[in-house]
Amino acid sequence: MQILNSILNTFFDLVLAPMRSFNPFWSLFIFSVPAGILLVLIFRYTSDQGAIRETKDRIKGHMLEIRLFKDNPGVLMSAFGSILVYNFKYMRHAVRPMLFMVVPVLFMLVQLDAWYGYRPLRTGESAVFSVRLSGSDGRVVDNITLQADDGLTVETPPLRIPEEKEADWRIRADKAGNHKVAVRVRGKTVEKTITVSGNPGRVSVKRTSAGFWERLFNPGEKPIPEDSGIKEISVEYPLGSIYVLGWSMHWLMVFFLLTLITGFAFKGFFRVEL
Amino acid sequence: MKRKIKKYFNSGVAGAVLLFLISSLLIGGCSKSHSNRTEKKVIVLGFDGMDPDILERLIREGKMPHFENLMQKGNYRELETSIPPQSPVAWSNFITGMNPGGHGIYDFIHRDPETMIPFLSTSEVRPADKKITLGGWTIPVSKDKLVLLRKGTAFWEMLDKHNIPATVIRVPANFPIMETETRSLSGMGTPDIQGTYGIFSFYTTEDSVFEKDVSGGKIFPVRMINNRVEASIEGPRNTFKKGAPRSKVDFQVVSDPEHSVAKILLQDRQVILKQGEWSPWVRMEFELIPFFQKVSGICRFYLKEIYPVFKLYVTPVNIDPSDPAMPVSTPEHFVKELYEEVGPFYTQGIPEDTKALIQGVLNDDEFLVQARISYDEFRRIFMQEMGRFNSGLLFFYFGSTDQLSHVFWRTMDPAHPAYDPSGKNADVIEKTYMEMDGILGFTMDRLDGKTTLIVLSDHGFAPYYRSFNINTWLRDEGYIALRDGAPKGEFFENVDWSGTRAYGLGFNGLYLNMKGREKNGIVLEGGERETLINELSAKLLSIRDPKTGQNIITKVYRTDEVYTGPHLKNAPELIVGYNRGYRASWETVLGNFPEGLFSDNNEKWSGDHLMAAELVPGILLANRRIRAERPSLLDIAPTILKEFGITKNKEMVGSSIF
Repeated sequence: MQILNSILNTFFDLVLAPMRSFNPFWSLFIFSVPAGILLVLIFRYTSDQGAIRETKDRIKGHMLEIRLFKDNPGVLMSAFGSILVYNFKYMRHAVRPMLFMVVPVLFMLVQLDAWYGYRPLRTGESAVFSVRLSGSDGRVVDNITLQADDGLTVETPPLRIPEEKEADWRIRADKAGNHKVAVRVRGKTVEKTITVSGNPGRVSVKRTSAGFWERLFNPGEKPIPEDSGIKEISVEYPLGSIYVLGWSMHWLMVFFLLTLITGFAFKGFFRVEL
Repeated sequence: MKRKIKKYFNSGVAGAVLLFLISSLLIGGCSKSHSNRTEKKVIVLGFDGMDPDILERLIREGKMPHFENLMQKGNYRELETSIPPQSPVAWSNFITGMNPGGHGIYDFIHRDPETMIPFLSTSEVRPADKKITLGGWTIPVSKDKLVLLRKGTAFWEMLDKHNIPATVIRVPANFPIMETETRSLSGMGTPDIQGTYGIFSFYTTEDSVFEKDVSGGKIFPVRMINNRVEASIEGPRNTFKKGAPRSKVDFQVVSDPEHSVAKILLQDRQVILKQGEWSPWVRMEFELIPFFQKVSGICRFYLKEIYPVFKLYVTPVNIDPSDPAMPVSTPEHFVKELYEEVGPFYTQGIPEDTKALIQGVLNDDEFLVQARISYDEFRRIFMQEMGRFNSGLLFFYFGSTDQLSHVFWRTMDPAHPAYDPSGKNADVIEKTYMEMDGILGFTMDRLDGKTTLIVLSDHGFAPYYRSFNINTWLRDEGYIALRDGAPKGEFFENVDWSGTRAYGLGFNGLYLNMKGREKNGIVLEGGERETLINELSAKLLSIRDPKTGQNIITKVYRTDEVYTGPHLKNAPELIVGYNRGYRASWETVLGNFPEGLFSDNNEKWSGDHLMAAELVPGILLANRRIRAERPSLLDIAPTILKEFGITKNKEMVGSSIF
């Protein structure tokens, strides 16, 4: 999993990083168009195109029936029923390509969320830095120490919440760059990266201990060693936003719209029946 | 060939091109430029309440080098203020070039002659008239309407018509914001998210405290259990629900008393504060209809104390500049652009929380930090606008001179009843003026030969030593009749209008109870009105303060003599011009009858300008010779227009100062 995450991190960094000084819309645009094409192609080669075409033709036929026999309630009801049945058939035909698409889409979403779901801290900005322990003894939070590198300042003493086995600090970003904070518990040290930049970029919100899903959804950093006594370390980065026509939009909506438009724009070229 | 083109289009290339065009339109299409560039540039800086006496003294002391420089290079005059000298009136004079008879703003407070209920003079919310009720929900068919009550044409509307680019930042009496092509941000008069001029919240574990509304805020008792406090912040009324209850956002404070640090968790945000720290702006969403309708707001937290008593101050929830619930700028996206450029900022009209200071929720030092936060935000916006100003008009308003003079006069005036002999904070007003000197210096450094610079204030300042209860006096003199002889409640609750001939409302207004205008009016036009006006004027001018022997009123203005225009009918008949040191009491302005005619002002609100206009003139400086001997606020709009070669409209009363 870690190797796959490293490959994906590198790939997405190579694709998206050159555009980081522009409005994030453009890098998302550059990514979404080929992604849309890729998804259309996956759909084409994993679906039964003939069956989909036939199902859609039948739906169209029954819709025509509704227009022609709008004065005949019996025919109308039958047409509505048939449309419903063929819609279910259409959905059944779409299941297989969807299953093939789930895996690449999931990796894309996780990576894009690291790029656009949050933004790096800006110089002078502060964020909450949280450490959560894995053991059962909440009193250990008294003994966590923090050491930030010279691009960061730890602004507060620890806020200890023993019942949640958690300690929080406020950290201020002083200089641009990828900085490290060393967390020391029971003689063991674990580092967490904090990204400070005026431009969009990939951030790692959470570094977690091993576990398939945790590693899948937090690909930015290596898992925390099991024996460290730390369950997770997180930084509350500001939420990212993409401005389109003066409106702040969630990146996911922009991504889905762009891939959807691309899919429809190129379906004729690839002769795909959607 | 045709087939080739068709094939080309079918191939999807056209789709890609279309996609690119749509995207370019989405990103770039939002910037619209209509105005012509003009070589001419005019910068107007408005320093609310900057007083000529204080300014001249500080210049003599060498503390205002840039003002001194401008005086020497250009010109300086006292600026005739409005009658009465109140900010909404004065800035409306400035905006329209008309007096209150023309723009219809006579006071901070007006009254509905039908109900005699007072309301804030510059804007009004007219609720949706058609609503459907479904169970506990009320669905409005039409929209609530926000109405700007100031009448007349703003000078930037005329600039707009002549395609002169203009940027007007935070001018008072411009909310709801006028729809023009001008880049503008609304100022004084802009409400918080609750629709008020600013309601702070204060949460405390103090034993003696119970939930209560105080002037300008609300106090909430809370309990701390396992170092946790749970509370909620009130938002706008949810008009979709029956009875329109206030919407709320819950939040939690987790504290570590040993380390004097706490974490505030609100929706998906968290902030850590040490005791005595202010949070950055925190965004929140008030849900009105689940999943469909939300209103966004921003606030700052101040963690006053964690242990032994928990005390948390929360600023009024401001309209979120990144997602404004009400239009506070033109074009609408301008405020979002500012947010992107300078970060979040106070959108409420008067950000300095003088109410929290007066209520004792913030002490002097804490209030000064709060005022500084808001000033720094506006200074950033100012720098931003100055940086890109290259053509047309730039107006920028600074309000801290006014607000800090109101609440810190007591620190520099030994004659004030609330004077603190320790001398602490005695230099606050002075330092505020010196900050403005820095703003002027920054501006002057960027002037070129084509730029006219005008610096002005809407009025000056004076001490506020003693309060006068004008409605009590009117009652004692037999002009107001009470139903059972005793006062009760506010808003003239117990007044017998059938026996009342005159009443005071607002800070300077004195109305006659006119037949045909007031619902239960009894005073007739003509002789009776004239006699009453003359009688009241003479009596008011003769009132002396038994403590000092001074006349408390130096001038009584007849509005039919000092106002012109179509809105004279609803104006008070008389404007009371108080002597320096005197003012109408807080209670009397809303139709109350406090006992006794006079009282010492022991409040922190210790300086004021709600007096005779001649006693509190404003300032006027320009980098050109001012030809007008007695320039007035009414002259500024015609001056700006003339600078761009535009003839003033016929309603404007003044003329160019140059």
